[in-house]
Amino acid sequence: MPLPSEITPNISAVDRLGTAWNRFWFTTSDPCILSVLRILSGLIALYLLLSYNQDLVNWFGPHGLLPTETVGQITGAASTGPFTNRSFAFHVSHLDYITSENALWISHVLAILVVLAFTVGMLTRLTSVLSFLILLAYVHRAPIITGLMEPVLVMVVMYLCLGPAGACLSVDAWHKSRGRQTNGPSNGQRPQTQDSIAANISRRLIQVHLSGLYLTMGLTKLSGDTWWVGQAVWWLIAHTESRLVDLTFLFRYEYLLNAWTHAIVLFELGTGILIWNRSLRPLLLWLAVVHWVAVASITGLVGFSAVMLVANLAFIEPHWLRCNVTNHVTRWYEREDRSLRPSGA
Amino acid sequence: MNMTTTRRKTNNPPHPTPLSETARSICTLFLLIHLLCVFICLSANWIRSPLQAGLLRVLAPYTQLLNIDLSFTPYHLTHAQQHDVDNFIEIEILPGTTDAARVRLPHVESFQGGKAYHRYKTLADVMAFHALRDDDETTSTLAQSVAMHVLQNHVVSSVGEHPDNAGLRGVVRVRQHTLQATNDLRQGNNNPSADQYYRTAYEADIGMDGDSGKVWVHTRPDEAGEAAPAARKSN
Repeated sequence: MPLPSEITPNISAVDRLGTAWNRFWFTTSDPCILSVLRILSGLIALYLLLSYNQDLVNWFGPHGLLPTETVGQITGAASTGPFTNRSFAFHVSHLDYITSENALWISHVLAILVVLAFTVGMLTRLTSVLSFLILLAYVHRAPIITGLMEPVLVMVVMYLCLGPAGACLSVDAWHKSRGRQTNGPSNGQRPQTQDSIAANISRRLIQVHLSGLYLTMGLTKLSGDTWWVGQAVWWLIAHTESRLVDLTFLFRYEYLLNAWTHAIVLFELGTGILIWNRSLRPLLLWLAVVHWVAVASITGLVGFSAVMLVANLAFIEPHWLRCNVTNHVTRWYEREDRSLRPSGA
Repeated sequence: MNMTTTRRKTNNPPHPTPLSETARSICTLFLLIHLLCVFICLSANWIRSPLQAGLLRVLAPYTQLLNIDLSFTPYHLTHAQQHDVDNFIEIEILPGTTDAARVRLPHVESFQGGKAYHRYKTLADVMAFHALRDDDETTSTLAQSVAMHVLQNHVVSSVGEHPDNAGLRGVVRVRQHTLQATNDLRQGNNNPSADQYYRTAYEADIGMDGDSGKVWVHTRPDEAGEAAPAARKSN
């Protein structure tokens, strides 16, 4: 039978782990970071939907490029419905059941309006969930043509559904503050948004998922020779039909191309792990800006790079963000609101 | 002094009620299950063991519905493989039926950084990927959809809603614009659009039956002389 002195260190280790777990997930956090993420991810979601405008019928119309049956055959789902599958494929989308062009357009416009409402923070609890379902519906309708951007965007919006993403910088918050002003005299202090555990869980989930994604990016790169031999960046630059900037002249600087290739792998693997270090975090966040702008330039993956940058904001300290962004915006809004209000009101 | 302290001294917002132990335990359970799913999906993105594949199959209802399952999303950007080039789809509607027409997807004039452009490019990439792996079933299924869309649109736009489309035919190709190696440039081959940089990954004859409106696809034999079985699709 072990002596109490032998048990104690184990118990305390478990206790320490439990305390750390509780501190990580179940402490309160300022929801302003979620609001910023809501606005920026909402804008990207709007861009994603608007990018369908030109080709909506071409893709999903009755005689579109990807009829439901074709998608079913490719993904493994039977054409009769998503749950009667041959192998395993769970792709559910209301777009599968829309057969006329008019209905498709009505559905698309409604989707844009819902995502717009989410972006401005109107009925955020409802519109965040609806926006998530809408994004999923577009992804599931044609998973073959989804790129690198959609999984990250869906992930961010999914986690925003869990927290109070409309707590500030939103129509909901504005409506709430107007209600307070109408109902009672103001003591001159701005109403504060309440820190919440849900805000913390939401932010933590984005952080954990994102750091995992960074590690995946780095590790999958290392499964190919080209990233080891330092040639990968050249092969990206050489894509004349997708790059935004022509950097072909770099073929003269082989070492530079090698260094850039290694730096990308190092950055992605490093970020996945070292982003949890508070001291290194600001450096890594600034490097992320450089990294993703460069990736967008040489690959043309503008949407993907943008959504990765937005997701990175989950690592910014909420209080720093409140000091530097949210409070300035709120003060600006109050000044504007006061100047627009009739005197004596 | 940090921002939190200042704010609380000045305004004292009400503190949220802490979670009870039971609520924390339930949340922890859900978090652990969810994070396990995320971990399995992320780790099995590109290369996977039979165990990972089996786990993904079990977790599919959850991970696929929430789009956590990345399944072969190319986050590595390039591995410099045969399919890691600029792929595009080319559909040529042959003369002798209606006016000759050629469609290229993605369209050349589109913005290369745009999502709309990349959607077409992804479709071409998928077709090229399967064609180069000799997965003719997948490639011809996609080619058939593309053919049907283009032929229908061509018929409607050129001869109206009720055309005499008997014998309408053409060719669908997945073309590859291959990449210049640094050595090519050092040797003075400065034109990335020279003919030598283009090749065909997949080529099939397509056609539309006049009365039934059915679209047929017949894959042209590759250099090895192998052809995929013809596929048919109802209008």
